[in-house]
Amino acid sequence: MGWNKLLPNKTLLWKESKNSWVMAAAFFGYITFGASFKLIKEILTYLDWQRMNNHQMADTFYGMYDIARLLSFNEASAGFGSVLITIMLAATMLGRERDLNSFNFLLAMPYSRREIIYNKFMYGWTQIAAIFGLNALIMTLLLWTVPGIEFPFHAADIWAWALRNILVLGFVFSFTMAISSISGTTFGNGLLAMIFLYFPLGLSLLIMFNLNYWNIMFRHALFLNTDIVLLLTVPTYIMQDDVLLEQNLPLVYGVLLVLTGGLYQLTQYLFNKNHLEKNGEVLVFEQFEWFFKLGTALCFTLLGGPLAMRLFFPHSGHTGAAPGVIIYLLLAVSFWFAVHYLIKWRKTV
Amino acid sequence: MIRVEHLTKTFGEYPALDNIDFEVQPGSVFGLVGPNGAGKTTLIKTIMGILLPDRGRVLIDGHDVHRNPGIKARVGYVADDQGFYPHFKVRDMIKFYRNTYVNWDEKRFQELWHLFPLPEGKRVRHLSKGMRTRLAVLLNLSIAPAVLVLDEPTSGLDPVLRRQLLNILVDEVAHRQTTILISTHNLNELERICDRIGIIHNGRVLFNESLEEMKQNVRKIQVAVNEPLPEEFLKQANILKVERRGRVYTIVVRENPGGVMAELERYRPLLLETIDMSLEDIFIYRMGGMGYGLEQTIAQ
Repeated sequence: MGWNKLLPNKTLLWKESKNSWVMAAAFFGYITFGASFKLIKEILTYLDWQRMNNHQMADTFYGMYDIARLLSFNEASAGFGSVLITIMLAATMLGRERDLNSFNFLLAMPYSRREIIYNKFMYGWTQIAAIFGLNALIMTLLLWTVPGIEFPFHAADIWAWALRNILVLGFVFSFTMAISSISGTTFGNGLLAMIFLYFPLGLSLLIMFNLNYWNIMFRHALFLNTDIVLLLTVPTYIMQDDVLLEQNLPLVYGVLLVLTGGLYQLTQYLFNKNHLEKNGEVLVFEQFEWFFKLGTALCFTLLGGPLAMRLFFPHSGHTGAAPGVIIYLLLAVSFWFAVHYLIKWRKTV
Repeated sequence: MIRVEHLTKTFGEYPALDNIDFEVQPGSVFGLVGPNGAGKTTLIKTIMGILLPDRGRVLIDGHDVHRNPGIKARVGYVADDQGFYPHFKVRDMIKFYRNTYVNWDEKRFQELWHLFPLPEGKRVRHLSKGMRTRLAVLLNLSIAPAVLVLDEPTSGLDPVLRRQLLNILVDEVAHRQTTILISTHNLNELERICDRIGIIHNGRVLFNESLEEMKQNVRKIQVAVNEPLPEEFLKQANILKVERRGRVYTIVVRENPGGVMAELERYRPLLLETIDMSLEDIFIYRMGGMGYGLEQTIAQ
């Protein structure tokens, strides 16, 4: 790609904005409500207390500490909500074109596949950066212009919050786009992205659930190390502080930035390989199916194993390994075939 | 000019296009005919760069469509299911095309807008199928295309609009030297506007002939004789179909109809004449000859 082609195409960006404005507006509303709007509300409350000379209330000023917590990652629900909306934004960008069959006319236009994907990425990244940038700007202006308040945070905290969110959500967006390039519908894109993004956390929880059932204390095993699991689960970067603050932050976010670039290239490669003739299937590339089946069978076996043990051996606390191995194997094989036939059935519908 | 070279495309095990080669000369109309599932739409989508071929290439004015998508700025595409964004208003679609195609011809657009008026503020999802086709025709002719590819463009149009569209296509070729590739099931329409016809079946182009050649190669002969014609004569390989009503035979012959006529003279016929066949008849008999039954064809 030549340097002049790095400039986004205005018409394609306009098209993306027309296609995704509802999602973008929801995203903007969600972040603004949780950040700028909340800060304005707290400032007004504080000023009311000051006017009423309620110094005791004004001194405690709990609301403002909520903002401080938000800025230092602590608002788990806010973080999860952002991740969810970002996934939905990215999942619709490719999925909706497939759902509407609009790739047919888009690809018949004088745009290359690379250009189409590039502009989708540019739109998504710009969207995320603009939402957080605008909120950071509003919050900084409030911080600087409202006199007489001892804010428990600084402008640098606000901009660090915005930058962290832009980097993490930029990664989440790129990851979902990469998944979308091998997946079919919008729903399939979103679901697969959610599963794989939270896979390290989910898998470790499943493993711990099973180890607990079998009374195996294996606390120092590498795969159970919470720090590593949380570091592998990138979306938690905007929800957890204790793990990340111990790390070398520039290195962690630097790696994340490189991974985001890699995911962009991967999406370009996969979309170019995707011949589009299998619109509507969960997985466009059949060669990925075995991996999908294996993962699903493994996860459902880990989830269903302890439950099946309780069902078949309700009174024995410790049944020995042999029945357990058999039940786990039976479950794995059953789930493998269940997924296999489910995919086969979907293809015939 | 469109040049298709060794185009091959498979869906899993199924060969949708099998080593297809053909050429559409500049300023001519090429009609693509074939039964449902023959590969017409796959071929058109591959020509337009929507689908990627497994092998072979498509050249438009010497440029490979898949390597140089910019060439599509000179190619219009009207499909049965256009795939326009349903939530876009008509004016949004016009804006999208106007800003995408550097060759957008505003004067031509205004002319066509008077011919095919559409409600500007209406969303695509609220347009009827015919209106959506009109919008697609309007937009794709306004880009001043050097090549126009149409896949079932007249489906959903009323007879007046259908005729209007065909007249516009003829006008495009006559006045703008536009190269047209058109696929349709309505063979009577093709007969009116096409220079050459390609018959596609099971992913292969079986025949690629000018309309004249096609009509000369398949003829219907009517013959009245006093004595029945011998079975051996009627079982010749180039006789596609025989119908007998009393002493009158109607024989459909492909390749060398002159030879069959000369042989029939030997039976001292009371009447011997050739009857012109419509493109539809030719298509039906030719497909019948390729093992694609008459009943199936009519069922389309």
